Amino acid sequence: MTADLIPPAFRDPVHDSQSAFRRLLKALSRPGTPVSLTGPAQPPAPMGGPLAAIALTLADADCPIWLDPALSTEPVRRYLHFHTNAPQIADPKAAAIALIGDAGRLPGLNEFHPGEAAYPDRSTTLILQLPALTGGPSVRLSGPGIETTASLAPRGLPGWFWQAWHENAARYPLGVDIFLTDDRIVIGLPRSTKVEAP
Amino acid sequence: METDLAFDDDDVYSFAYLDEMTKRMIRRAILKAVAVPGYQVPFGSREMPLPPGWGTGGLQVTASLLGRDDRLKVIDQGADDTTNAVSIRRFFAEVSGVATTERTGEATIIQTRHRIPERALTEDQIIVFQQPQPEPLRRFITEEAVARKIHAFARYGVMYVRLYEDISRLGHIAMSSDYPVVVNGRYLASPSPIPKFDNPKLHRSRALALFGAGRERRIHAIPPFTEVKSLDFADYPFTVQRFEACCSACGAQDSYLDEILLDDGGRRAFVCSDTAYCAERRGERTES
Ligand SMILES: [Zn+2]
Repeated sequence: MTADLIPPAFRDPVHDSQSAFRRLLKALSRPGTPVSLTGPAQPPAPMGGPLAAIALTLADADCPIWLDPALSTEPVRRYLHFHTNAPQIADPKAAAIALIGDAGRLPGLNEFHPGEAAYPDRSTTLILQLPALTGGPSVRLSGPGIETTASLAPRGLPGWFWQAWHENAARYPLGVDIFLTDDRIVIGLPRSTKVEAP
Repeated sequence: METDLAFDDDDVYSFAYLDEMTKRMIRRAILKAVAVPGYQVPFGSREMPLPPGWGTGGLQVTASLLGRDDRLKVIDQGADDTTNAVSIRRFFAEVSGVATTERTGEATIIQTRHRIPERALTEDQIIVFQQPQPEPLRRFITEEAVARKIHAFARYGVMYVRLYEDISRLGHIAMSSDYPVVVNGRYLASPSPIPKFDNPKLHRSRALALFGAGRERRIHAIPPFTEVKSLDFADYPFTVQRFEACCSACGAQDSYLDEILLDDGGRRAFVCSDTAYCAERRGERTES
């Protein structure tokens, strides 16, 4: 196989990744708020546009990534290797970014790195691709970035997710941060966000 | 006018000066900083074409944020027209071609040293602080590893003791700028050398605040709507500076004032430190 069979990444790498970064920053600064995020054209399935955009924007040789079984296909691995050069590792705890194509089969949040007491930034950021960011069970969020409360109802998360998120927030300032995506939107869920009972 | 920056206008630079790998590294650090408000994220600071003390940390943060649709405002001591502010503004106009403005309300990114604008910031704005020293414990603790341990376990008693000593000796807390805050009920943080007059503006601000310290290689953040509490004591509550005078140029009674010398005879007056705020108020007055 040759490189020319790999779909192209951003059309304009400098400005497209800048724009994507600002959208991620907005999403993480305003948890629960849907932010539109355009991805590169035709990333290999099952990678959706926003998930691919996040990988292209944040990953590089200094940023080890972990792929869930749904994304562990040869075309996805080659695409990410070719465009980001990020080490693809087998241990989720050693990953700076975990890309999850099938959120329903997400391993427990404890499988990822929560950071260290002195370095809580040494944690894993999870990118969870979902079938839809609305229409699921509704939860209420509060914390930094949220004026009063925000409600969120993503579809396709495992049943244990919000209880695990509650435990994640209880470990603050340790914990993982999450970006939820579908085919055009990203929603930020930093560890500082608290969830009320659904 | 001659540029103060140590870079050559004829050279070709990356958009916003920094290479993409450096921007990505800083962007990852910014996202961590937002996720853990007040925690100082280490980052690999780069050389910038500016003299030391010119806010290379803030500059690198701004360079990693900037896009073609942004409109940048740069202030130093509240003013848009000081050498530092003019040079930084010109630098970014040169290396990124972004629009610049002096009007606070029109800016999408505001890079600042020493002040927060008087006009309330909005959801669509990001304020970037140039920060010489991001470590609020540095006054008492020189060892990095010790400071890190104190932050890790939130053992901030030493800071309270020190502030209380100030009170008992002087009758008030001696720090009038860079007055420490607790962010999101967890991290003790330094708000950069803004007057404590500006501290309340950080509390539940609608705008995201990012702090870049180049020499110390740290980035920290205060997201919008985040609890920011200036340290105080039950019997000595935190207070901001109050001015007896109002601005002699625009009449503002609510702004931070600088004392200026009017003539050789030693006549003095107070004027707004935020020059754009003052100018806008004067403009509004002449229009009406
Ligand atoms: Zn004035």
